[in-house]
Amino acid sequence: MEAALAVGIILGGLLCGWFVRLQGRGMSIIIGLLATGVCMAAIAVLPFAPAVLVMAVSGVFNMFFFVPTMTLQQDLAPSDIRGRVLSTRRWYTATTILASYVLATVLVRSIAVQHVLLGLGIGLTVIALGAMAFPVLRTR
Amino acid sequence: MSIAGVLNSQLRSFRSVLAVRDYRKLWLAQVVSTFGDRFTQLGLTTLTFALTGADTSIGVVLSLTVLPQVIFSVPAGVVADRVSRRRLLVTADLARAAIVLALALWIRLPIVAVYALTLAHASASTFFTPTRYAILPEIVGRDRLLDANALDETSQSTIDPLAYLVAGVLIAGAGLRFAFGVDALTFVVSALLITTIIGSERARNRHKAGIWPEDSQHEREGAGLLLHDARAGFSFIWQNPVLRANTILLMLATLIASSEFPLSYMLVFSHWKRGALASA
Repeated sequence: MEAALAVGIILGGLLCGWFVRLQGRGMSIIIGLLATGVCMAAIAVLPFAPAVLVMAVSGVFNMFFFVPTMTLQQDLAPSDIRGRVLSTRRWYTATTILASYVLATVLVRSIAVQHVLLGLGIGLTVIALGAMAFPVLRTR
Repeated sequence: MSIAGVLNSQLRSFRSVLAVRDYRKLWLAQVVSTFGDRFTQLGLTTLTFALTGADTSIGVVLSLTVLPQVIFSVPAGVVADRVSRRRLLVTADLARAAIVLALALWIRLPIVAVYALTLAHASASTFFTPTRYAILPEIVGRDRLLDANALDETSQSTIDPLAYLVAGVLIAGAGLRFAFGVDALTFVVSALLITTIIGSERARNRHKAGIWPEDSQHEREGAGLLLHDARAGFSFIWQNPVLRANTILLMLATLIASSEFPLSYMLVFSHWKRGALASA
């Protein structure tokens, strides 16, 4: 699983420049999140071997939202404050990741793990679809 | 355009970014210090288990590597804006080299010292990473920023498995002390490479006069209360409509998407009934 994800991330790194130039940063982020949500849901319902392939695809789309997000932050933050803006975002991310691990652990106590992953995958897909309604998130 | 065409075009863009002398040094430093980071991670978990024989101690060490990100991320950003970013990167690298060297040289290391050194190492890394991202636009400029970020992440993912493999072989073959010694050397090499970067300081000095006058004024007056400075990072994100919307979206997405990491492990072990090899 981890190796497949790594291969996907490498491929995503090679493709994301082209994809962002094609779609713009905002849409690339939204499409990346949308596809990641679909991949999460697919991994939950598939047997092991195809799920590994989907994990690689997920790695590709992870880069479609990670790289343009970082570029967006670096680009919009003036040099004098960039360190604070990036580290504040890093703080938000680290805190949210911890919360995410707690959420996953709490949910699997009462719901089967594949159902949790399916539900969260659908949730992420819905959030990404909802994001398309906001022009400010589709910025190039 | 075909996939091969897209890949060729991206590789050309990577070569174009690598043609920037200062970026090439920063990238090489990243390659070298990524090896160092992975050596440290594997070395610390191995050392901890060797000293205690308890699974829980590995959990403690891994938690100690995450904790400084939550505690020190915001102060690290303040420091990155107040001092020379190049010097801060070099200092963080040299601090990590000294910490890892202590692990290599300290005979009969108590577990409490391992925990303390782990915390110190992770704290130094917390200062390094956002500073590295912050210095990048000053080195490559706006036009090459996307390709530089893509190359950074692609390199990181390519090097990671190799670095773990080399670390594993080195620890198994030559022992932990030797591995920590090599690890310390990687941080020194990274520091030396970053020391020779010159463009970022010039670009930053040019920039200081303009875009963020209130902050520059504040900096000149030297009224640098940490809390006041830290608030500027939060304020900027919430006052800029694009960054605010992007932050809310990414926080919601991270809350869900990051759960994939523990859930996929649980899926492998409890749903598919497979082992560590399948996880890997």
